[in-house]
Amino acid sequence: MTDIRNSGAESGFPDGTAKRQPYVELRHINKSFGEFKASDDVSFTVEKGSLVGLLGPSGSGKTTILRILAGLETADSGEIYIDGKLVNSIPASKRGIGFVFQSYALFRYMTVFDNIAFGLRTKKVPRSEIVEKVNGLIELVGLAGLNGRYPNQLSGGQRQRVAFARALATEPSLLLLDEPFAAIDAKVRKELRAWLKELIQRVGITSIFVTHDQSEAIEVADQIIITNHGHIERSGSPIEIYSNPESSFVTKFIGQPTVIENPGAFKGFSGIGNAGATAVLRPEFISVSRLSEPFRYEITAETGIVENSFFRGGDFELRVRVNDQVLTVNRPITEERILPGEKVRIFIRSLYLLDGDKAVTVLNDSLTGNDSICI
Amino acid sequence: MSGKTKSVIPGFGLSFGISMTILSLIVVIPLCSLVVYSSQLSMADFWEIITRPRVLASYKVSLTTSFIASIINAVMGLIMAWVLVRYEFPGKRILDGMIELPFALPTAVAGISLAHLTVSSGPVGALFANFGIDIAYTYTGITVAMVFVGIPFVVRSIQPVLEKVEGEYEEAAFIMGAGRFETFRRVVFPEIRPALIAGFTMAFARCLGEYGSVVFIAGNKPYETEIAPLMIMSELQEFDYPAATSVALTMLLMAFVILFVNAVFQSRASAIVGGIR
Ligand SMILES: Nc1ncnc2c1ncn2[C@@H]1O[C@H](COP(=O)(O)OP(=O)(O)O)[C@@H](O)[C@H]1O
Ligand SMILES: [Mg+2]
Repeated sequence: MTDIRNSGAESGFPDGTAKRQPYVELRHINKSFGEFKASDDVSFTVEKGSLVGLLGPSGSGKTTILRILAGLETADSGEIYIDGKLVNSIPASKRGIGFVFQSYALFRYMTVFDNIAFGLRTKKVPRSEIVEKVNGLIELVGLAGLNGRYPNQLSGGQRQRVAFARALATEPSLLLLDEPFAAIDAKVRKELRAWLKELIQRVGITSIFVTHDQSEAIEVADQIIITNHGHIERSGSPIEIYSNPESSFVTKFIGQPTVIENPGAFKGFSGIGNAGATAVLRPEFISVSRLSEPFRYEITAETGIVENSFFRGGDFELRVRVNDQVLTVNRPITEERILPGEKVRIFIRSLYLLDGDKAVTVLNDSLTGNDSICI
Repeated sequence: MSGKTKSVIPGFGLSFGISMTILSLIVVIPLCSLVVYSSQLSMADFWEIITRPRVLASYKVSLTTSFIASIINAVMGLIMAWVLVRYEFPGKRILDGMIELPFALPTAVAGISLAHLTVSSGPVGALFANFGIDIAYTYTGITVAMVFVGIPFVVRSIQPVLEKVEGEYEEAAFIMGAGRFETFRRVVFPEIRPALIAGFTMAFARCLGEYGSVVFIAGNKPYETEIAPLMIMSELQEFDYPAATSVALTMLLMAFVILFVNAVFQSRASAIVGGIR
């Protein structure tokens, strides 16, 4: 079901009658394309001035939510509130929204200047004001001197900046961005993320961006809303979601998960789950050491064989076979190198035990001070 | 070998050779023969032939009617392409297929049937005759025939381009407050303008040279409704090859100018969308 606990808890008024009224609110939005349910009872709220990441796998209905919010798509049922006003029947151009399309949709036969000026011209803003405003925006997004270029004469990153400036030109109160970094090569992407976050904060505009890349959402967003099969799976701050995924889906989606069968077979977790149970491990839950290195929780550690080793820059990612299952572990480059084929000690500090839709954290017996250590 | 970029079609040498052979056999050699024939004449004779009053009148007929027909084609073709791309309706496939008919039909067949329809005793001609409008044997008739011949050029140029104009373009404009007309004028039209110009110029060049479907409806009154290709034919019938080729050469030049203007437009457009290489 929908989880609006985060904002609800902060305002202290779960029904939205708070003094801190949410700036954007979707209530029970449904949308089908033929037989296919693209939005399934979607409800969430967004605080004024926050930067929200709509995160989910491809096809989970993120774009659809954004388009419904913008008024490019009509919901079959449900209400959309922006700044306390019901906007269901208000056309897109009157909702005070800036939209950055995934493809940017820059007008190819218009210069950078004309692209950014488009919305101002349709609103019949006086010429001198347009020139001043557009030049200011070009300055703001760091494209000074490129006024006369056409979109195809720009790099991917520069195009994104134009799209961003164009969306801001009409001074919207809500900015919607669909996969703003998808069309940009990996090298520039990281840089642009920081840039966009900084700029959105500087402009102070409430923003919602869509992404399927969790690291993007975690780095950029103040609040993350996770979508799955058209419904909202979970919402919360990046830290909350990362450290306490709660649902089975989010646990398997966030971080670098390895799903294991029958976790009860691993030392330190005896007796949890039944034979058919599954659990999720993350590399940071596991430490690896050579058999020769001393280790404190010897009794609840496993031994395994290193099958593969991948260099990841700061550390090595090892694939270790334990109990006939392959675990992913990180080993810092500063420690002695472990080569494939070596027998190693594996200590699993904790794991997420999946129980239906829920996920529960289970600590290693050694860390809970359970009986096993005394045996 | 390593320096070359690999091409999908094997054997650049072979394929280039074939292309050049075909091009010279069917295009360059016939064109050269035009020049060779005409060069039997002195410059003064050549000039005299191509500026005979009757020939000049025929240029005027051809250029005027072709231009008007191409303008009509541009407008009608744009609307037809729009309808075919943007809307779903029963019989769309059939209508789409019919666009090519003017290409497929023998031009004389089209000419004869158009003439039959539009003479003052014909079904369409009679209708217009009530209002005192003659179609056959006038500029109007010639233009009608040319519209028929030229329409596929415009429709088929615009159609693929229009299909590629993303819906997001229009949505972006819409969110920024542009109405339908403004979106079309400022966003969609610039996208299809190069294709429209290409279609217009190709139709124009084709109409200038069109003979079969026009002569029957034109009436061919000297100084009034004689088209330029007809002048070539009549010189040929008098076995005056140098005169025929001189007029032909002049028309060839006009066609080149038209296509050159198009090329200039196209290269300007592709410089904008092509970007930096
Ligand atoms: N206009 C449409 N017509 C039919 N199906 C659509 C349409 N838009 C989206 N869908 C379907 O809805 C699902 C969710 O789409 P979308 O919101 O684009 O997902 P996401 O952005 O998360 O990848 C997809 O399976 C897609 O095929
Ligand atoms: Mg999407």
